Amino acid sequence: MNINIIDANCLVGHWPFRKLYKNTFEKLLTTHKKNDIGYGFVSSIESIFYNDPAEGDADLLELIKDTPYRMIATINPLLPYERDPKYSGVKLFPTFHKYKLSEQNLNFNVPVFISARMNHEREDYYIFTPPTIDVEDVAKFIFLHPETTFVLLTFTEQELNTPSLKNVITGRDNVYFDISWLRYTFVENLVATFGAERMVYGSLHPMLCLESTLTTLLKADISAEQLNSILYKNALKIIK
Amino acid sequence: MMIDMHTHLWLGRYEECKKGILKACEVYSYIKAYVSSIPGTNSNEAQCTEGNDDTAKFIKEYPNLIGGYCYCNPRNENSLSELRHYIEDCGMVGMKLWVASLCDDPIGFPLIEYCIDNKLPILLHAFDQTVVKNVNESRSINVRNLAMRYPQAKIMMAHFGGNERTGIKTIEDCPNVFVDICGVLYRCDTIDYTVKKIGAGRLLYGTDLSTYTPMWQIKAMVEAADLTDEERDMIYYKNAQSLGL
Repeated sequence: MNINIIDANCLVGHWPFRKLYKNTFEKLLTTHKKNDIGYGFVSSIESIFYNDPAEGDADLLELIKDTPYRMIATINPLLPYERDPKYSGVKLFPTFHKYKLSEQNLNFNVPVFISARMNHEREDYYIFTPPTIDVEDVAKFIFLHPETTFVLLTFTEQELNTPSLKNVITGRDNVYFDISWLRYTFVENLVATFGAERMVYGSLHPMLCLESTLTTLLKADISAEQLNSILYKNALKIIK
Repeated sequence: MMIDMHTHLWLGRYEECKKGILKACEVYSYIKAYVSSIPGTNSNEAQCTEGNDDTAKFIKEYPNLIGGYCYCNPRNENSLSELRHYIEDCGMVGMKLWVASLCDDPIGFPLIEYCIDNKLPILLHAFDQTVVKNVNESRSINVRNLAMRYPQAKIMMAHFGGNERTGIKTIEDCPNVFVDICGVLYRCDTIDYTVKKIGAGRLLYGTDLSTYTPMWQIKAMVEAADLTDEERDMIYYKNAQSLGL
């Protein structure tokens, strides 16, 4: 394979509920290189849990400087947050941080990544069981921000096919979703429903096995043009 | 070479499931795939028989490629005679228990003892769930209880026990418990952690296949783990062979 794949959903850092074996930036680089991935849109795992997420983001920014990796800042709108021009995008975790997107006064001039989950709810830790994503709320939020580019991360096929969400994805050219959570579903179904131009490759590394999520895509029965759109062309439209 | 020791025929979907399993056999050149039926959560005698008949039919159609386990609901009065029939008359080579009763419930002991007497492996569904809870869904602790009571039983605990961080630790000191690697998320470090705890000699390659295609993702997970070629071969087929599969 000789394509410069872009990983639109990768992270670095410590997960509080289990030890991760490949969670450093160095390991991410190694894994990406091994799989012909040029770079990724990366965010900090620690920032999800910090009272000041900017501390985790600053650490990550230092790690990725002088690399092609793009920094995605973690924002919890219930806490004070900063708008650093070095950040290429922002990532929101409405389930972990327990808020309604549409009730927040959020306006960003960079792409907004919305994470539905990081773990299967069956495998959550006992003291920390986030609610499931409110798809109607996500659809409403996207509808209210027509100029903003959105990337939906770790949504299931069922969630993406909810009529309200499906409408905002197919009705606009600046709403994308990643394929990291497509466990039992076929990429072909989603390409047929939404078009390859709405999809990006995301690994959810180091939570999930990158090779597994990548194989999901590489084994799909889609055209080379559709594959390339998902592997890197769409990501280039989101963040150049 | 690969042996898939965990695939299913869902009741009423024989052709569809068969097609998915045969596709996996072709794509990965399986030397064998082991099938059991899933006739429903609390399947009655007729449903179990219908499901097991499907498995027997599949074995008969592809005797060199397909092996089978008899699905049993220990709550059914005929479960032991059903097991005996499909093992002794239809060439099945193991037993599958799902979520009809906990695997360490004494109601299933006659079935377990039959398997021990006949040196048959037992595939046990087990899932350490945090949120959802079926009261009859075994957890790894139930598998451990059974393994301790019957150290001669050849137990295959499915899905790493649901969460390897709890499941593997629970059965770590039960050498008669093997573990299969399907049915969970493709977590980055699941296999590395498991091999570190119990070695590669007790892991089994399985996909939980029927109509889905998780085989690619599961194989990718094995390939991505920090293993030697010999350890991968153990997972892919050698450990299954050591169980008599």
